[in-house]
Amino acid sequence: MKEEENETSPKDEEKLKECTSKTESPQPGSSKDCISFQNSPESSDAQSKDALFEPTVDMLVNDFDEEQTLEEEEALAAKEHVDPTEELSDLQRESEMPIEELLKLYGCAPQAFNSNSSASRKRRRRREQLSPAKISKVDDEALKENLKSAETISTSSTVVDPPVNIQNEENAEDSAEEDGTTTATTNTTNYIENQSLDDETNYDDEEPSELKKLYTGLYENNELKLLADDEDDLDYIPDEEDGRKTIMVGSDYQAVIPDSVKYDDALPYENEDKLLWDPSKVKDDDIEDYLFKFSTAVNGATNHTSSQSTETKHLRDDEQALLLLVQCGNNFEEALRRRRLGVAVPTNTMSIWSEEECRNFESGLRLYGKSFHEIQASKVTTRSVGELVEFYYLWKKTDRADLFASKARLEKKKYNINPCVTDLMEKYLEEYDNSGTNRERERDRSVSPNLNSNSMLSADSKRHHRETSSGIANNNHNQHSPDKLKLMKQIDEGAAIKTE
Amino acid sequence: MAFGDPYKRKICYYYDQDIGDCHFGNKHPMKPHRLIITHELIVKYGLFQKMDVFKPYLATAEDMQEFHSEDYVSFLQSLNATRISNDMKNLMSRFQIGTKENDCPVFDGVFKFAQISAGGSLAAAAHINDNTADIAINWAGGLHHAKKSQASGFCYINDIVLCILELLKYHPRVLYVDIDVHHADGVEEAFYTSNRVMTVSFHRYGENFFPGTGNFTECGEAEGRGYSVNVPLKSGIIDEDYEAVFASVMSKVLQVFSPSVVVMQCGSDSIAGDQLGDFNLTLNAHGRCIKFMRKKNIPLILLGGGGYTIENVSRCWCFDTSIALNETIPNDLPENNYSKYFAPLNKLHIEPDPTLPNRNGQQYLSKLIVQIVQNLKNIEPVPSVQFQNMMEPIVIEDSPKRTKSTMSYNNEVIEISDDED
Repeated sequence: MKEEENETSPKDEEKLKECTSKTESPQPGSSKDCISFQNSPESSDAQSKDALFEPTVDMLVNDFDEEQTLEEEEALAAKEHVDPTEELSDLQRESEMPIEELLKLYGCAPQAFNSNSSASRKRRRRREQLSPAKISKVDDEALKENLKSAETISTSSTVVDPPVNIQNEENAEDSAEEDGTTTATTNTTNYIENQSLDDETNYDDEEPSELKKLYTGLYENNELKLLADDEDDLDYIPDEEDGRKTIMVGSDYQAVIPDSVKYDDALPYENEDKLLWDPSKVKDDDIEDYLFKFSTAVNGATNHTSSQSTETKHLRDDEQALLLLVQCGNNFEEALRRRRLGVAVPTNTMSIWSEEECRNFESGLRLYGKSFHEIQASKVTTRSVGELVEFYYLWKKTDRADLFASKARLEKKKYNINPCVTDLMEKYLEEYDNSGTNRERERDRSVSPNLNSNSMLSADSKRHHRETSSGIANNNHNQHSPDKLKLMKQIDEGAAIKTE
Repeated sequence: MAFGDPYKRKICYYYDQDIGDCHFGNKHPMKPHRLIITHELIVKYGLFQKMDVFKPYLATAEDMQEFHSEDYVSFLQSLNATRISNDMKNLMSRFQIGTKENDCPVFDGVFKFAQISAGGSLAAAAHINDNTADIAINWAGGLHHAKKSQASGFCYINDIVLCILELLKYHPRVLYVDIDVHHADGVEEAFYTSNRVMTVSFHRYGENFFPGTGNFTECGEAEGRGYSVNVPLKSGIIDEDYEAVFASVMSKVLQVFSPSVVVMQCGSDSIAGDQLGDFNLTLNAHGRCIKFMRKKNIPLILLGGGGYTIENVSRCWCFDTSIALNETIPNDLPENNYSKYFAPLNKLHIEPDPTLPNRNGQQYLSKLIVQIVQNLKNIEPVPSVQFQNMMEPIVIEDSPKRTKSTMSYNNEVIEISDDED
């Protein structure tokens, strides 16, 4: 049930009915089986001892959070210059009003409620706060009846709200006495029958302070704000792309499911997956032995010093060693022999990058940022885009790259860093982007997952922004594998490099 | 069923290093090279040699058209970063590629990227179908946002849907579980009206978090009513809470649905410190979810997905691989070609962010679980053969060690236990 749905669809109502009718099995006191909202308040009450107010799951989902919003509510109240005592007296007055007048005051027809999640927070909070809490002595029957009628009328309101009323109503007596507080009036509760359920229904609250908190924001000019479809809300951001926020149903959207289930004739898999390694062909111990020998075997060109880490028992699993082994038909001796002879290991190896290529690459980065396509086209035409990407990820952690980055940093303003992120090069380079818009600008957050990165990088009140110790990491050279260490050194020296 | 020794599973792993050459362009958080780093860690930890490793074949346009519309696939195939003609611009808009938000840009090799991703998932399905694997892993897959005729959320071709469609040829019921921080809208939509696929997604919801769908009230339509399960969560959720919610919901799901195969999307953007996600989980929560599913002894496919802080992505998926293999790996990272990405601590596991508040109150989570479980109860019970393994009773945990976040419904405590199986 999408909150942004503006159109009413019969499916939704049906769904609503179905979902709620199924959960509507009033058996107060049965805690064991079939716990649904209307029956569970005892158990949840037991947990939250002074639950004066039972928010529905949907309210909670929509970010009504008591802890969170109370402070904000008070702040809001301060802003709105609402006088709490006036509200209280209003409520008192209302509680003594005859039902008809109350109904008139609040507009008795159940509201077609449009809970739009893109509406302002304020609005949402107002709406959600006002679900009834403890209602004493309400007519069961009448209420249920009205719930049903309310359900059919309210369109895109959420599923769970209706049961709340029943829940509260059935436990009204218990809780009222339980809390030992003065539940003010019974009259106020009756009009609830005619209200839409997620409307701003009035409710009693035992403690005036709670009441005050919960009512602030509700009243504007001392009039209950009713949320209807056509209400003007200046904060409302129209959803231009509703389609994206709803699960669509139709042949254009669903997959075509194969009809039959074949249990017996599972055809052998025929596609050409390339099997790179099959552990069942060789024993674990033999492999360990082989790998050790492989890493200590003297190779003509490179001097491999195997460093079996003293901290771990695991050998460096050399993928190339295993691939070579497979190539030799799992013959260990043959593989080792080839290794000793310095036969090239079967992998895609990048050839030497010349100093000129490195320099061009860096200047391309400066010009285009990480548009490798453009860098390839104009700067390093001798390499494929793929090679550029591969080179980039190795390069970015070298000293040479650090130099590049520090120059970049000097030119740019300081930005915020996520403390859990250790890779800072990306941030440096992103500042460089000349083409396209800076993604830290505002965009519709709901449309793109890209957007949420903004909340991490830009000023987000939820996170501290600080330089982390890992910011120093770029200069830390510990724990390189011997072959790559060599590569890095060579990049740094601007000399010709060879990977592997 | 290829069960054999219950402690040892046959694991297939799909990897194609060419995917690392794909780059989404400037400033884009999705970095395919994370798969290379992941693979590097898997190799260096000695996990590579314990699995059947395949370089999967490249999925063809025909394969993709099992789900996606023909014109969408042909368009994707024809995309070339250098030549974008004006008439292509209309199509780009229609298919949501190269739009102004630039979620799904046109980049060199975009079709190959999709081919590798989908190829791995299809291979996984095939190996599961013919019982040559108990667990199949494709970290290049899991692109759950792609729709039938539309790219979305960095996903072009929905390899998951293709995988499930393949599985459905030989399995009556497929369960899909998604622990990415984003709602699995593409997969849910594809199977929204089907009762042969149950999609369960645990995700961040609210405040317009992408994609905007995934409220717990979304439960499917027509025959599929009740077969879409959504668990909307708020920011800052921690391990304990997440595991409790996962265990509670999944126990019930398995009880009522009895799948014969499980596809699990293990997006790592639910890990703390992600560029786009705002959960506060460590690798342990992630791993335990996988362990929970693995212990059910149902054939399992593990797919990748989101993950935008690449050093954490690689840590996470490497750890998840070790969980699949039931191997314990040390916290110290082995020497590797990308060591500098993990400096200075060079540890596998990460700490949650102590400054991120957990917006998921106990009351909220309890109620959510209750409601979801209630909805699940309304599903028609599975009529046919009872798979013995699936009828495991709910674990009743009476150990006192769980303190503050004990989730319970029906007075039973659900917990993922840590012992080896």
